[in-house]
Amino acid sequence: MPTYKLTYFNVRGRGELIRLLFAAGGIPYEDVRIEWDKWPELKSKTPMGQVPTLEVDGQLMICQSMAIARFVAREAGLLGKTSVDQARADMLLDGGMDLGKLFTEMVMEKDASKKAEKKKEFGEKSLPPFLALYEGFAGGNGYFVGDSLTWADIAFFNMMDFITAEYPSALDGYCNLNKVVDNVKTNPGVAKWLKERPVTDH
Amino acid sequence: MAPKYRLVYFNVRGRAELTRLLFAAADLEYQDQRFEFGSDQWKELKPNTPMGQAPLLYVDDVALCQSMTIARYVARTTGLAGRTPIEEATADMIVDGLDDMQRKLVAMFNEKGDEKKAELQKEFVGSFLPQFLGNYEKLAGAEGFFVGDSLTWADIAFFNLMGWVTPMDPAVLGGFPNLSKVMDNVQSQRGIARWLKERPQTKM
Repeated sequence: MPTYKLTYFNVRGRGELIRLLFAAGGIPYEDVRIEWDKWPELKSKTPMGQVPTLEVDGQLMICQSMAIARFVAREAGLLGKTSVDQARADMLLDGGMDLGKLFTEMVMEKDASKKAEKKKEFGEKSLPPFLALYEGFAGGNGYFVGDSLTWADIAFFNMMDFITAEYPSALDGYCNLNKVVDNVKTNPGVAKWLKERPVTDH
Repeated sequence: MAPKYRLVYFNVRGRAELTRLLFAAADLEYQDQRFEFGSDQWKELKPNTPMGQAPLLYVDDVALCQSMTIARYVARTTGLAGRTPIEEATADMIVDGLDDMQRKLVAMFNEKGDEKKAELQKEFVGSFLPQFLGNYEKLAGAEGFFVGDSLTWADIAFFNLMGWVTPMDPAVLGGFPNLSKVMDNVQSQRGIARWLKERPQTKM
C-alpha cells in the first residue's frame, strides 16, 4: 500500500474533507499539521504555493484540496459506482461548493456590521433554498447517490458541520438530509475520527 | 449501445466550451444545443433542471449540471482524464488551479465601470499573469503536456482559458516555451483543429 502524507495547517478548513475520507476508507496516512510560522519556508516547495498537499510514497506531491479529496475518495471506494453516479456525486459537490464560497465570504468578513448583514442574508436567502433543493436530491435512505455512502454524503456532512456552528437549527425538519448526516456519522471510520480528531475553531 | 449526449448552453463559449473541445478531441458525437440569452426556451427549461443553471449535459435522459462536472465526465468517458489515479489527480490539480485565473477573468468581464475595469486589467496583465504563468510553466513538461506524456483535459482546459487572455495580451506566452508547446499540442490535435475552424465565432 502506498504511504500518504497530508500537510495542512492545524485547522479543519480545506483539509477536513480529505481527513474524513481517509477515515471512512480506513486508509492510514500521516496527518501533518504545520504552524503558521513554518509556512513561508514550506510554501516554495509546494506545486502552487498552497496547502493542503498530499505526498504519495514520499515523492509525488498533489495540491488543490478537491483534487486530493477526489483521489482519496477513489482509493476509499467512495467516488460512485458508475461513471454517471460519479458525475452525480461531482455535481452535488460542486453545488455545495457554490454555497460554501458564500458562507466563507460571510465568515471572513472583517467589518462587523457588514458581517451581520451578510450573515442575515446567507441565513435567509442562500441557505434555505439550497437545503430544500438538496433535501430533494437526498434519497429517503439518506444517500445522495445510489444506495450507499459516497463522498457526496461526507462532503455535505463536513460543510454542514461548519454551517451549523453559525446556524444551529439549519437542518431542522429536513428528514432526508438528517439521514445523510446520520449515515456519515455512524460510518465506523468516521465515528472514530470524530471522537479522536483535534478540536479546532475552524 | 452508446448513450446520446446533448449539451445545452447559451450561444457563447463561456462555461461550455471546454466540454465542446473535449467532445471534438475525442470525435464523440453530441448535440450542441444553444439558447440565446433571455430566450423563452431557457425560461421554460430552467425550472426543470437540477439546479436552475446551464450548462447541462443530458446523457440519454439523465441531466447533469455544473460545468466542471460535465467536463470531467466527458474527459473520463473519452480517456482524456489521465491513465492512472495519480495522473487523474494531477490533471484535477492543474484544472482546479486554473480557477484563480478564471475568477479574475469573470470579475473583469462583469465589471461595468470603465475605470475600474482598466485597473483590474492592468493588475491582471502586469502582476497576476506573469506569476501565475511562471508557475504553470514549471508544471508543464518540456514536451508540452501537464500530465504524463500525452494530451489530457488539463492541457485543453489551459488552452481554452487562454482563449480569453490572449486577446488582452497576444504575446503573453512569449517567455514560456513549455506553455507555448501545450498550446501547440492542443490546437494541432486533429479533432480540436477541425472544431476551431468550424465553431460558431462568439465574443465570449
